[in-house]
Formats: sequence, structure tokens, C-alpha cells
Amino acid sequence: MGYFIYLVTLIAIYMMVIISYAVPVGWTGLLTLGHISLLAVGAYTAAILMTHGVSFWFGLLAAALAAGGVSFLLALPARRIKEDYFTLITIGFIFVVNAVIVNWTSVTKGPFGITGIERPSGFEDPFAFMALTVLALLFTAFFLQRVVNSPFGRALESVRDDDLVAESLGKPVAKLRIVSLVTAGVFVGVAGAFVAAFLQFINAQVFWLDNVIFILAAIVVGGLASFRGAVIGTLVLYLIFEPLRFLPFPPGLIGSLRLGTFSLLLLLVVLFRPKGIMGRAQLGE
Amino acid sequence: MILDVKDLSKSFGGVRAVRACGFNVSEGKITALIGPNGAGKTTIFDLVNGFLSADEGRIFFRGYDITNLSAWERSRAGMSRTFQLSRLFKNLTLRENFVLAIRQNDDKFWKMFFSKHDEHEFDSRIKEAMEFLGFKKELGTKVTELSYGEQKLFDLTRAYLNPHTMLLLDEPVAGVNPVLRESLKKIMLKLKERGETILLIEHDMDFVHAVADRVIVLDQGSVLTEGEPEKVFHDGRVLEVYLGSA
Repeated sequence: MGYFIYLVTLIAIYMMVIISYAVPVGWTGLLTLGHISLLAVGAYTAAILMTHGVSFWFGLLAAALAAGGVSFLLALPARRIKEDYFTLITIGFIFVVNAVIVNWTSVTKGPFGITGIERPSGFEDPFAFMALTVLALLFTAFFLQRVVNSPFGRALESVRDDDLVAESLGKPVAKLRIVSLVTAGVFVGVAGAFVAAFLQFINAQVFWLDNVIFILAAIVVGGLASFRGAVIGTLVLYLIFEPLRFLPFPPGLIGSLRLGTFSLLLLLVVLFRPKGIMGRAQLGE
Repeated sequence: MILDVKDLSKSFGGVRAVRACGFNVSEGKITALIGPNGAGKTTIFDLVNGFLSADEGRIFFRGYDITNLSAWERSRAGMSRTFQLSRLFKNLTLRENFVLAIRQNDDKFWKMFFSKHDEHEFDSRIKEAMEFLGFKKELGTKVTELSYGEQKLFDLTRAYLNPHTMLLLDEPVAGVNPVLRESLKKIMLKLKERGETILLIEHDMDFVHAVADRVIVLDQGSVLTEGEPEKVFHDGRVLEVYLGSA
């Protein structure tokens, strides 16, 4: 039962990240890889505050604002440069955030990470925390679904399909790109606060490149511009992800095996089913 | 006059594509920009539309200086354009494409989030425009399923539906079959009857002769001559830039 609760909580947190990430990638057509680092910004903001006596709820709010603010700064170059170059910038962003986490030891505790993060009062019990996480996921899904199903969401799709035509029809492309990235960033920040409270310990390793591959694979396997696709993609990946842990291999090998499996899956989907399981668009169209 | 272009210049590296170019467009008229390949027609179109920014010169639209406005701001000021090769929102249906053209202010995140909206709310407007422009197709069709000629009509319909006071048409009959060319000719005349202001680029001289009220001839990035089609097509200099000197 304990393992089931752990798994549901973990999936709910990652689903929150993945459906948020789906907005700029699937609807706006911006392949950002920096979401894992926005998750780190959210998690560290919440963890630092919570270990200094601030409540989870204020930590959550601060995490959302910090990740939203940082994603605004990250989004600024997206106003003018080509999508491919923006992707390169977001890769650079992962390394910058990692360097800050590892080297700003007085605040982040460097490679040792932050320990002793407490869960919100009233939700210390794993089952209660799982319920809270699922509730946060449902709210995230409801909010973002409303956004992408609105005319605003359609305007984002016009930017994805042809930014020049979108401009010629009166769509402020730069603003639409920034708003989609910041909206996603805020929810990824919220997910970050949940990561910190769930694991009760965070370090740079939690927010490293293997998770970037996992998040990207979930989106691409599920299909771009589809929430149901993102949800199914996450579940499919966890169905592959979890049984690997029970294979009779040394623990050090399991991580590499997971990464290899996700990368292979990503490659196969891009080659043979570019719209994923139920996508409306495809990468690089 | 609705559009007044003054001393526009644009260079790409060492190449001066447009040099001190000036012309104007009158309201309710069809004005054609013609000239041989490399004369700077598309560059001028992109400068007027805002896809490119001018190195020198000013552009006035409806009396306002729009030189420093971006393309989306010029669109909202009343410019709507088509493309030489139709550009599509390829993952969307015809209806979705048309609704995007009609609906303005859909970048208002919160307003859109809380207000009710219906994909079908503009159907009657869309159907009226399609009927007027002779474009027959189911609104649920994916735009990628359209033939080349249908894409040309689709592009024109989308530009027409986008709220505008001037249409910029980039080679509306390029590559279309003679039947569609004739029907596009009739459409242009119907648009003129409706009082539309049109600035178009076209290589097809018969088409230009049939629809244009005024012709502006470009050569090497500047205006060679302008006037009524009859006068312009009999100008020796125009024949020379098209056919080369004897």
C-alpha cells in the first residue's frame, strides 16, 4: 500500500509538470527543455523557505512566483529568435541552474542538498499528502485545459503553425510566447513545492538531464497539443519505468537502462509516429 | 489616400533592394505593383506590412505614421495580407483558421479565460465571405487537404475575414489554372464594387490590366513610372525593363 501511495503521488507531481510543459511545447510550438530547472527553482524556493519556518502554503506561493518570474526571464529571448535557438538557450539554462544549486552552498547546501523539509500540517500522512497532490493536479489540469480550449489557446496554436501568418492576422506572437511559458512556469513551480515536500530532501541530482528526457518523452509519446495525450504518455512511461526497478540488475545500471529506454522510445515515436498516441501536431513541423 | 509611402529604403548586406521609393494608394481603388524579378516588389510589400523594418523613409496609413509599428499592430490598424505561396495553420481546420482571422484581442489571457466562446459563433460571417468569394468547402476540412487553387482562395478568404481597411494581395493568380484566374478576376472586380482598397503584386499583365485602377512600375527598388494601366503599358521605359533594350 505504501508503495502504491508513493507511486500515485510521484505520478501526480510529474503529471503536473508534464501537462504544464505541454502548453508551450504542444500549443505554442516552443521546444523548451528548461522545465526541469523551473521545477528546481520551485522546489528550492519552497524548501529554503520551509526549512526557515515558513509554512508550506507560503512556500508554494513563493515557488509559483519564483518559477513564473524565472520563466519570464527565460522567455524573453523567445520574442525574437528562431525556435531552434531558443531550445539551445533552455539547455544552457539547465546548466546555469545546476551550477547555481551546486555552488551557492550557503543557500542551497550545494551537493549535499536540503534535508528536513516538512510536509504541510494536516497532510503529514502519506495518504493525505497523496490526496492533496492529486487535488493540485486536478486544479492544474482544469485551469490549463480552460486556457488551451479558449480563443487564447487557439491563438497559441496559430503561433505554433506559422508565426508569420499569426502576426499578419494581428496576433502578438512575442506576447503569446511569453504568456504561455510563464503560465507553464508558474504551475511547474507549484509542482516543485510538492516535490520538495514529498521527497523531504532535494539536491541537484533530482533536477538533472535524465528527468528532461523523461518529461520530453512523455509529451512526445502522448502527442503534442493534447492533454489526454500528455496524461497517457506519462502513464505509459511509468508503466515502463517502474518494472525496470525490479529487474535483477545492479542499482547503478537501472538508471542508465531507464534513460536508454526513454531515449529509444522517443526516437521510435519521432520516426514512426510523429504525432504520438493522440497528438494534434508534431515536433519540427 | 489611405497609404502613403515616402522615400523608403532597405538594404540586405550590400544589396539595396529598395531605394528612396515613394508611392500612395487611394481608398476604394485597386493599385498594382509590377516590375521584373528583383525589382523589390515583395520587399516593399513586407516593409508596408511590417515583416521588415525600413532603413529609411516613412509609411503613413490612414493618416498615421506606422513606420515603427510591428506587423501585428499594422494588422490591427487595418492591413490584411495574403501570401505568394499560401501559408496555412496546417494542424487546424478551415473554421479554426477563419475564426483566428476574425477574432481580435484573443491574446487577452484573462478575458478569454472567463468569457464564454463558441467556435461556431462566426459561422454566418464565414459562410457569407465564402459565398461572396466563391470558395466552396466544408468548414471542418483540414487546410492541408486543399488543392493549390483552393489554398489560393482560402488565403484570400482568410485575409478578407481579417478586419481590414486595405487588402495586400501577393500574386493572387500565380500558378493557378485559367478557369480560376478568370474567376479571381471577377472576384477582384466584385471586391472593388464593395469599395475595398487593394494593393497587389502581380506578374500576370492581362490580369493587372483587367482589374487595376492604377499601376506602379518598380525597377531596381524605385518607382519607374505610375498611372492608369493604359498609359503605363504603352510607356517605352516599361517595355524596356520587362523586355530589355533593343
